[in-house]
Amino acid sequence: MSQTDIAVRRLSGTAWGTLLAAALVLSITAAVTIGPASISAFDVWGSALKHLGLGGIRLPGLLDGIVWDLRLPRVLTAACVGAGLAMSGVVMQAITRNALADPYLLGLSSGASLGAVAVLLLGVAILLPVAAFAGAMAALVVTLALATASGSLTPTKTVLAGLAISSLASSVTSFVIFWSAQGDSYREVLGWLMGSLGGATWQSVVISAGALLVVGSPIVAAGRILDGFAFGDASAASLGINVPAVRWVMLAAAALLTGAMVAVSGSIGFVGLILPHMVRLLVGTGHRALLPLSALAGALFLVWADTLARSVLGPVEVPVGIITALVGAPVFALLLWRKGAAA
Amino acid sequence: MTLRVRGLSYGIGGKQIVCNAGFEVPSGAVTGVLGPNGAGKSTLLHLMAGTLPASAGEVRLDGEDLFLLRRKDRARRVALVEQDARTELSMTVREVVLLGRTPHRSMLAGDSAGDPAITAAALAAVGMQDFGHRLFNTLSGGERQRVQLARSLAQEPRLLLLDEPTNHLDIHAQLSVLSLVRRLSADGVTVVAALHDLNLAAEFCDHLMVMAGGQVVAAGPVGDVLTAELIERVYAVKAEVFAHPVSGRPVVAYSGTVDAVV
Repeated sequence: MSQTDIAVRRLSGTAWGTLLAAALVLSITAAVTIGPASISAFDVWGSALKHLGLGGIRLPGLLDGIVWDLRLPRVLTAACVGAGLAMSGVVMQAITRNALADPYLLGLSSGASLGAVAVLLLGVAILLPVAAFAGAMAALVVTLALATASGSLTPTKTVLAGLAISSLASSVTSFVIFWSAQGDSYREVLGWLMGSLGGATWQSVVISAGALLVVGSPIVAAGRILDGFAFGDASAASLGINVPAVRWVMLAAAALLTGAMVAVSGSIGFVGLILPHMVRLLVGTGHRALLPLSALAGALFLVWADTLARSVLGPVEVPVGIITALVGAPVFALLLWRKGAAA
Repeated sequence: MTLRVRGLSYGIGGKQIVCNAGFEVPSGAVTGVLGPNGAGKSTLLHLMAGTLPASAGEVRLDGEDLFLLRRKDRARRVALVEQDARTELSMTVREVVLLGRTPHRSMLAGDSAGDPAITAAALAAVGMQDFGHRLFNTLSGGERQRVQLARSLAQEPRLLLLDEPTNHLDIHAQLSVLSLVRRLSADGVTVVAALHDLNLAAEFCDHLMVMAGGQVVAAGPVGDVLTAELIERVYAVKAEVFAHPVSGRPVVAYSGTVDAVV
């Protein structure tokens, strides 16, 4: 037993981090080369370095536009969104002590979509990430209130409450779009509800990377505090942690991350559920390692999920949320089954 | 050098759970908290640990008012082992014990240099040094309790609060956990433990404190507190108390509930 218990934890967190980071750089490069226009990895780096003023090569205008204006911002946004959603999932799982917590399942993503669509309708796109954050936070508060209304917070009740809030926010979002939109409403609804990185620009990169840096880094630094919640709130308090303050700051941080990511990509599900659970198998439950590694794994996952989404059906784009759900729903089922087996 | 609790009170929804509880024991002693279910034992321990906010009262350890300390400073002096602590996470034993170092480092820092050594020493102190890489959730109840004790030792506390540490353990595990607690107190740690088994309490504690209905109804050295009269009054149970043939400590033999006897 003692041999098999943690047989997979052979490599250190740093080793896994280096591996995942290397895989991410390679994957980003590869993802930019994939698409209808044929582009080599050499072209990708040449163009990127040229634009950064670090030498590189000048590509023909059209190709350069495809690399620098279309594919690179899209792939980088995918990486940042994947990282942010995975970290948000880790934080929510730790604070709610719920293995099934995920920004999508608890309604944060749908709330953020609703907030985003509402300000777009009002024509104040500049407030997009703020509104998405407000929507995510509101959805989270209502979900937790609903789940606690009938007694103590259990994982099952939390997920059910999240489902209710998510359905409500999604229908209001759809209604608002159908009521107001002039263009292709169906595509727009799909984009917000199932997620899409089709509209990613350098501005999306700035928003998502900025949120990762500003919100994500302090969360990683404070990872130890999340460890203290392993045995519940009273245990955390007896270790000297200010439980109510930490809980709200951390949940607000998760909502902020989710809001920023949804603002640039719509609500992409299950990333915050799948990757943290896989990473725990690799490095254990310590959040100092779990948070950054989940972020790297989330980035890697979404880069490939989005590449698949835009290439699998030829010129037609599949919403990336369909791909993540195809992987995520079985993982969710597996977690449910394992919980049942454990109880 | 004493642990002194005075006027400790806590109520919720108009119901007083702990009411004006007070007692005083020498530091380094093992004090057993007895009383029927719902007497407020658990709540008293949580109040002393600061994990529940007392509505009134104070806890002084060697003269220092624990409630006036910052959370982290309090956690460096007081450790709490909850009843049947559980986690959903697949944590290794070492990871669980390392949690005890939380109050000793900056919230934003990683492990400090001494942490691995202190963690290893804590595991060795509870006889679990070979279990560091095992998963906490795969251990038996007695092993889990030992790991939680090791976690509390890693906090390097001067006051150790144990909420029914022998709950759900077989008799061998009960005796081994309580012997361990005795050894800790010999090293100078003041221990307050809620216990159900009167005989184990009589054997392992220096002092007893008996609670009923949220109030302390008796407190003092084991021999003074554990009498047939008190057992009948607090537990509604007929009992004989006599001296253990070997240790000379009180032994309780029950002869039925009071309502059954009447």
